[in-house]
Amino acid sequence: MRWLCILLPDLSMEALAPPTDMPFAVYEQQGSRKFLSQVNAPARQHGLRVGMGLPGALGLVPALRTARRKPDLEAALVQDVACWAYQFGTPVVTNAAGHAVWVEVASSIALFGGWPALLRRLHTAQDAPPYHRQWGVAPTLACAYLQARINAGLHKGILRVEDIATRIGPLPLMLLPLPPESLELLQGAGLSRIADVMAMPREALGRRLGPAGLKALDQLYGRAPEAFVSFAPPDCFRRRFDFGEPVETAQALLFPLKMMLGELCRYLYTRDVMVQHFALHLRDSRKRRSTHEIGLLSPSRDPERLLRIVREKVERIQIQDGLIEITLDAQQFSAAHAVQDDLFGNTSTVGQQLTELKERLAARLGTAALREIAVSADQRPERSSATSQSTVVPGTHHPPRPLWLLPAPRRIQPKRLLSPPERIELGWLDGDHDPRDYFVAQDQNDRVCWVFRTADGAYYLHGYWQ
Amino acid sequence: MGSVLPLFDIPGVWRGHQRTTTFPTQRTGHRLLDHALLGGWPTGALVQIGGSQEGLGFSLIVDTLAQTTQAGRVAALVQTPLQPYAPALCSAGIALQRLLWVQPEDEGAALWAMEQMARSGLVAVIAYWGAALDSTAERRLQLAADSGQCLMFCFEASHRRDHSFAAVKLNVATGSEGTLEIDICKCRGKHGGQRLRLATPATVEAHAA
Repeated sequence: MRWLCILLPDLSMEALAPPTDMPFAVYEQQGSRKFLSQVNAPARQHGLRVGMGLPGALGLVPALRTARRKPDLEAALVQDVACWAYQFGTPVVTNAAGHAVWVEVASSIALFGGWPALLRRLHTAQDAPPYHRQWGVAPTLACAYLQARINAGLHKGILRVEDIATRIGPLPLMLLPLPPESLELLQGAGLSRIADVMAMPREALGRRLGPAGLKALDQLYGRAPEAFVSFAPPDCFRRRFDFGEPVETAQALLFPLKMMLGELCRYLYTRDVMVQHFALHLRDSRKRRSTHEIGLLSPSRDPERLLRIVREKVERIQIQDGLIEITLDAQQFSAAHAVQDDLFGNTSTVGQQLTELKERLAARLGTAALREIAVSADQRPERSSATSQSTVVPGTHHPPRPLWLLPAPRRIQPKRLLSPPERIELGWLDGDHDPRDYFVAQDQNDRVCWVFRTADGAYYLHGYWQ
Repeated sequence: MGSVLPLFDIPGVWRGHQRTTTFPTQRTGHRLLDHALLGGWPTGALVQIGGSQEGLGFSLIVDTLAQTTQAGRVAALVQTPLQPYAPALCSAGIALQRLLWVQPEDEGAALWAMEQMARSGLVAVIAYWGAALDSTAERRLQLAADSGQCLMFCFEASHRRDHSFAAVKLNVATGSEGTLEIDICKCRGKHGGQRLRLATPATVEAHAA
């Protein structure tokens, strides 16, 4: 076994807001007490620490921006990282509360072309979730987690079980996977390093830590098997984002949308599928819900492309009362077709760019505004121009026809007829029988036009040639 | 005695009425018009066509659309006054699968769509029918056309004589005998004020004969 542990130390902050240079803190509530559970670097410079009371912190730094911790959102992000890690091996194990994800890579090293190649791939991954990560590599779950906590990094991994004792021995014993009271007990006994603890007689340790403590230590050293639940990607994708306070502008929607679409695309890669339709559900401060369906002309899993289309849609949403919640919901997926990445990882070809352009236009103007022009098999003028792509008929021959067609023929008195009549008579099958004689003619302004004479001798203007 | 530099070798010397063609053009498909426009439509520029009542003047650009779509590039028709008739376009040689037809609800949306298409660099020819553009919109389109190397036609119903950013400005009118009269008001690289008369499309003549 070779476990790779990804620890996300700043996750509770990253889940709530983009990185900022202003002091920012996340707080938690226990009973009536509110205290800081995470602070960013500028806030730390102002003297704020984790565990401080919220009123005290605000008294110290009045400009402090705060947000309440959202454990369910963090759990969703841990799942996102798990989806991403899934591409490197199985099984994947998650610990939502501990903000950690493990992936077993021993069996997939050969696939990536050896251990150094896998490490390079992990280092240069462009598609990695945008959260601060710490890495740990070790033969056991507990040891990999310990390595990630000290931020050992990918290159200082512990690769063999025999090396565990020597590598983690010098570390402080507070890192051991034991309950806090056991750690305090060991420290009270005058021990400071992990090696000191392991040097004690096993019976003495067992009396102090109990069987559970001993088992945890055995698992850490690879002497006892570890139990875990393997992670599997869910069947559909649903993400919710709560705005702390109602937002009024479409611009404010873009941060959560960008984050959610990034997650969606990682999810799609994990399951090796693509998405063509998904929905955005919005809820405003009066609890009114609205749904915006988003459709693509072809399936995709490119976050940039999805964001461009969603942006066009979102910028046209009228926000009356502030929005408090946005949900992205994707239920239907289609199998990924083989679009080969080219040398530079760029899958856009001209055809695809054109599809994207059409999508952008359709998102803003509505699908009805974007039409196709095609020839249909029907010879009657009103029906021989089709507006859907499916009816292109190759090789249909038409006599000369005008460039413009009037949507509704108009009564006219032509000045001069320029051609012999052309009889167009169809429709006796579908009960729309209407024989017409078509002429090239000149109207009263001398413009060359296309007119027809009905059975009762009236002339109608139906097209223009110029 | 030093030799005298030939005058024409000095850059920037004004050559009076002599024609200079230093910009790329695309053939219009009409010999007379090509000649009058010093080679054809200027690519990456705005061409204004006034007097276009009920789509008059469409025949001027059909050949350009055919060349463009056959070369694998995309062309777009925006806010047409009437329905572009597929069988005629097809017989004129236009590859319909590369012809976009956009009918936005209002002028603002149309201008936005044109700018998007021009700047994407994918659409080589855009033809637009609508009200006279104000100078800001005109300038924006001119810049978009230039950045995407897109040839942009703006058909308007009115005849305008005031200043514009367009590289070529024409007025079209129906002549006698079904001809199309073209009045070149402005053309990049030469003086305006030329009048042409294009015959009725050959297909019509053949049909009428």
